[in-house]
Amino acid sequence: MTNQTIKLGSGLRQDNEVISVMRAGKLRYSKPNKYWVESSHKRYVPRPEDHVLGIVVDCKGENYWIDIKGPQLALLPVLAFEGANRRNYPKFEVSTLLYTRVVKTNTGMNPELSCVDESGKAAGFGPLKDGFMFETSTGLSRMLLSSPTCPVLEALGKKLSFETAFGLNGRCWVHAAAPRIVIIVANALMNSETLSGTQQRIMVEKLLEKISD
Amino acid sequence: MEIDREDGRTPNQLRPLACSRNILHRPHGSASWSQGDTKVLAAVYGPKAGTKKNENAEKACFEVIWKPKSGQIGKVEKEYEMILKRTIQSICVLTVNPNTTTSVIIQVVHDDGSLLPCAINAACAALVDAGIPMKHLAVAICCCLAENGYLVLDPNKLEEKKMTAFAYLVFPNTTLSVLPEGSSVAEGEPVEHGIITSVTHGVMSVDDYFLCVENGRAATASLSAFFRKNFQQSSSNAGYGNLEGWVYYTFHGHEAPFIRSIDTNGNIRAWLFCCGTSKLGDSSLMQITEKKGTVKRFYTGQDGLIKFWHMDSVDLLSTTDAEGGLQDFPRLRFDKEGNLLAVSTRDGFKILANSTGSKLLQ
Repeated sequence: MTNQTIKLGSGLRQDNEVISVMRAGKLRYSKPNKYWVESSHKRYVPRPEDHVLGIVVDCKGENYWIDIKGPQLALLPVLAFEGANRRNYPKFEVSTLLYTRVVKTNTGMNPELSCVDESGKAAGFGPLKDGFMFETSTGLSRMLLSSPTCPVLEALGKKLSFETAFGLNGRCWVHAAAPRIVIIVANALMNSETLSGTQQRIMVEKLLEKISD
Repeated sequence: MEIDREDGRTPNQLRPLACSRNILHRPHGSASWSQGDTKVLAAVYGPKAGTKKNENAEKACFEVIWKPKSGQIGKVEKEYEMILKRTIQSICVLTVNPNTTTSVIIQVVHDDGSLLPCAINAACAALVDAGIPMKHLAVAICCCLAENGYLVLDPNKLEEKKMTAFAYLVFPNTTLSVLPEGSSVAEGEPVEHGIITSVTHGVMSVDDYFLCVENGRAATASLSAFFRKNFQQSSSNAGYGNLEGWVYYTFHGHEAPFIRSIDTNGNIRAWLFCCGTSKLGDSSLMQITEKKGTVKRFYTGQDGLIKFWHMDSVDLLSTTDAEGGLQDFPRLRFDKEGNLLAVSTRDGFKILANSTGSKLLQ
């Protein structure tokens, strides 16, 4: 392991000649040269190109101040929406839930968000209306966003129809036609954190059995 | 230099340690730490935006709130808060989240001696649970000096009262590194040889103080190992093949431990073991399959041995007599992960451990 340029991800830092760990978790490696420490917490560390669910806290001049469960509030420029210009831009009330992506994070500065992707299209970003938002740990949201599809989502999707949005910052949003479906899905997702794939399927089966009585 | 301690410990022996993390729902990190009867709860909130008035905005700021078990907050609590704050500031990486405040709240559940070290250990565990960036952990220990010059570690409340002097010492924990030369070095000496905090009460000579530091540092090795093991257990996923639970019920007059485990393919397998004496007085071990309830295997024998079988075959794997003293029908219990086995003997019980288990017992 000599004379290699490696990229350090979250949880690792370089102190002169030594690379040391800052958080407790699993050391992961991805080819060709990325190392990071994976752990699950209730707070989020913003990283560029993450998709997160934020809540509007304030609107001052050119930016919305958004809470993304990180150490600092994030800024969302008012013009960072598809088709927005100075005369016509979306106005959100405080405590609106938005699906956004993190554009840049620099230490000491507030992270910046955007509701358009690189090419300028909306691509699903923007406010989430109706539905139910609940908070989880970052590890659970990563698991729910992993591909192939998480077993609990597959099992629920076979019997129920619902819409979800997951933010890597530990916020999840569920929407369905009937409130009882929203509650079933939300409870199933919250319980699936420590379960393995098979255990998740069994849990969902038992849950759906009880409901269909 | 032997001294008789009331609870039968040797002078350098610590009380039993227990630590659990993520126990509170609202805080972003929480931990409870107990050493013997002294128990402390720590909760961490943060990092949140903004620092206090006189704090440096280029660094992360920490705020400590100490809540005693009863009574109002006074000077003693303020002093503990200040000591904790300084200790936490030196173990955390302050440049990662500048201009933020992290709050650490300590709640004393029970004080039976060595309270501040217990609180420092709890705060450290809670900071790890919250994911606050840290350089290394802090392990804290209390050493005290009796009138006759004997040195004692981790005193309880009664011992503390009788001592002439005591010192709370906080050391950085031992680091594991991939390359031995890579361990962090500060000014030519490894980081483990440093000391983070030292609070002394009473009168002691310089030599006695250095002896305290030496003994304390030696004891931190076992504390560091405990921390490490505690974090490793919770980081790894629940292992397949671990014994999931014990359910006891009587089956035709026998006592039966029921073992359910999930094997590596993700299938749930369950076995029911009945051990005991039948009406005729034979001792036997029956294995009953889950669905049919039929007896699968019968093992008889009453020779005072512990026998091990592989789950899937009928052949005997090994036997051990555990250095003698076993009853004819010993009672057996495994611990949750299957690393320790307790077996009853004529005068008490013995604990057998595999290699993982023997580390637990130290």
